[in-house]
Amino acid sequence: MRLFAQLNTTVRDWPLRTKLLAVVIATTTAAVALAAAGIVVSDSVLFTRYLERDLTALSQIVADTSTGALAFDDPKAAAETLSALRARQHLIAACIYRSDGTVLASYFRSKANSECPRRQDGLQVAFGDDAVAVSRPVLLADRPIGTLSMLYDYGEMWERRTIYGGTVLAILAVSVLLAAVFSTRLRRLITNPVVKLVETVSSVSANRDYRIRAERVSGDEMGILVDAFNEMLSRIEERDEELRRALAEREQANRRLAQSNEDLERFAFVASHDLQEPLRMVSVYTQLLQKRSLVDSSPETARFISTIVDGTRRMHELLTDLRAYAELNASSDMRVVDLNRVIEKAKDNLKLSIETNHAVVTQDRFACVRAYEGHLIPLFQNLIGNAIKYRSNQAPRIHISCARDGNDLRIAVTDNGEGIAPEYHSKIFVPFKRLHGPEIPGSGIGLAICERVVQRYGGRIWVESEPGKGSTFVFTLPGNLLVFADGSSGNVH
Amino acid sequence: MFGGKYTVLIIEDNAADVQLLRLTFEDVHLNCDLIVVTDGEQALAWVRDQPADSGARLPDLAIVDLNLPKHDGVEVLSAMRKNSALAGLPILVLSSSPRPSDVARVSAFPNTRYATKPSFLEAYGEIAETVRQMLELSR
Repeated sequence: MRLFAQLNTTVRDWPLRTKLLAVVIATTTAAVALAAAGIVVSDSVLFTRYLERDLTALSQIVADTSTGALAFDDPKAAAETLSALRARQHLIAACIYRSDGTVLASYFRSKANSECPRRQDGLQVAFGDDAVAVSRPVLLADRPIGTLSMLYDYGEMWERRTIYGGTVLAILAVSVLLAAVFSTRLRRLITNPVVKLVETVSSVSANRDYRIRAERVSGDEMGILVDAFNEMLSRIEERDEELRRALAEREQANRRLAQSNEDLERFAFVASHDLQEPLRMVSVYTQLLQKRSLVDSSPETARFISTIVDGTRRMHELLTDLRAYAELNASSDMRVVDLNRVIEKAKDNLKLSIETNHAVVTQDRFACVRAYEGHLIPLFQNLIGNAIKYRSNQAPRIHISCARDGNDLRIAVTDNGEGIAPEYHSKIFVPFKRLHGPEIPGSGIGLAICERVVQRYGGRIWVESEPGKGSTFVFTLPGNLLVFADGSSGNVH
Repeated sequence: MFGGKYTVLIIEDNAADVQLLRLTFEDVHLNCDLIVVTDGEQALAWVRDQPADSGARLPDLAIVDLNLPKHDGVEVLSAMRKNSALAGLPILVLSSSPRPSDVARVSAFPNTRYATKPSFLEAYGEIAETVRQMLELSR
């Protein structure tokens, strides 16, 4: 049983061709072997009968011939009679006994074996293990006067069996060969569709080409399988095509988007830079007119001119901010930056605004980060500046805190300003989105800059606020930007 | 004021900017002659024409715009610093572009300061003040 299981496992991995060949060889061998066994068995039976008849007849002849010698007790004549048996090469021994049991004459095929076979009563042909023993009374006038006993070997039977065996083996070999040859086409009929299908499957999976179809070569189960497989391929091909198209469309859209983003950035940069120059002329020369009183000094004229100057001032701020926004993506070198110094610089830039509004800005102790100072100063400056700009009736009190949030650094700028309604919490980060009219100046780009800076470093920014309750702008910086006092950098632990 | 009139070389393509400088100097009663060169090529030619050790009257200060036609301001600055007659000339770079990269390029030159062209008239006072300081230092 175990052997069978073992064989099963071995055979299982054979290719289909080999398996079929094995089946053909096994069945042919079994059939031929069975037939051979039948023939050998029946021949043995037939030969045994033949041998019995033959030995009976032979012993009859010898007994009849030796009657005279026995009657006259002539050992010489008896020996001569027996020596005629030399022609029968399978005869091992032959002896003629007198009626008193003594040996009158004997014949031995070889000297090595010179023992007379035992005599028996009456005619007996006994098939022993190694030889056939024949015993026959020698009669004279129907009266026994002695006994003839012979020992005959099975050599002839073995010869026959050897010939039969050889023939059977030869027939077996030839029939196996013939079966293998004649079944080739038949086996191909079975294996070819499978092999072709396997080739198709391999080709599809290797090239990922779902346009390939399997060839239907037969109408049997393989044909059904091939049809089903082709059907499946068609569906996959359709899906693949759809997917490819969708992917290509998306790629194209992404490219267009990237291109248009790039164009927009370039435009913003060029526009913010090139518009600044003519604007500067308008602004400065208008101020010159105003200062030098080159136009009539009626209150109306003065008001008009001051409106122009205000307009140019606002536009100047707008262009400056736009330019800062456009420049954020320009390459910049990352250095170790002390956030305490960054905040000091931002506060310094806002000095006038802080003093005018009597604002109090406090802060935690900050760490150093690996970043570009030119990104971080506007970030803090915009957040602090906004906290002052959108103040409530109270004097602005602003606190900048720092905490660890998992692996990130979490920085919050909290104010006691007018607060922001929840529906505007995400809108305020959109460029040029403003919640106020010209009564509070601004370009609407400050928070967009903040968001862009924070996102550039892989962080997030959001606001927590309610109208009348102040605002807290929170942003995160990834912990791996942190630089510790010993100069090592890494995550927050 | 000490030593009479100054001579200031202005390398600037925008006539309106030259006019503004003129007015500014007038405003603060800075008594000076202006030599105006309006593009990079002329500026380089002017630099070449200043022979070393000629004893000729050289300007006391150069005001150079960075964004010039034909050759940019940095090329002009390099040419000036290579000319031994002009090597020590105080230079004020007055540019509309406050890009850090420009500031860095300019700061490599000795005796050279950088200022952004003001967008508002009131800031011209600071420019005039800077010019006056540089002129007085050069005396």
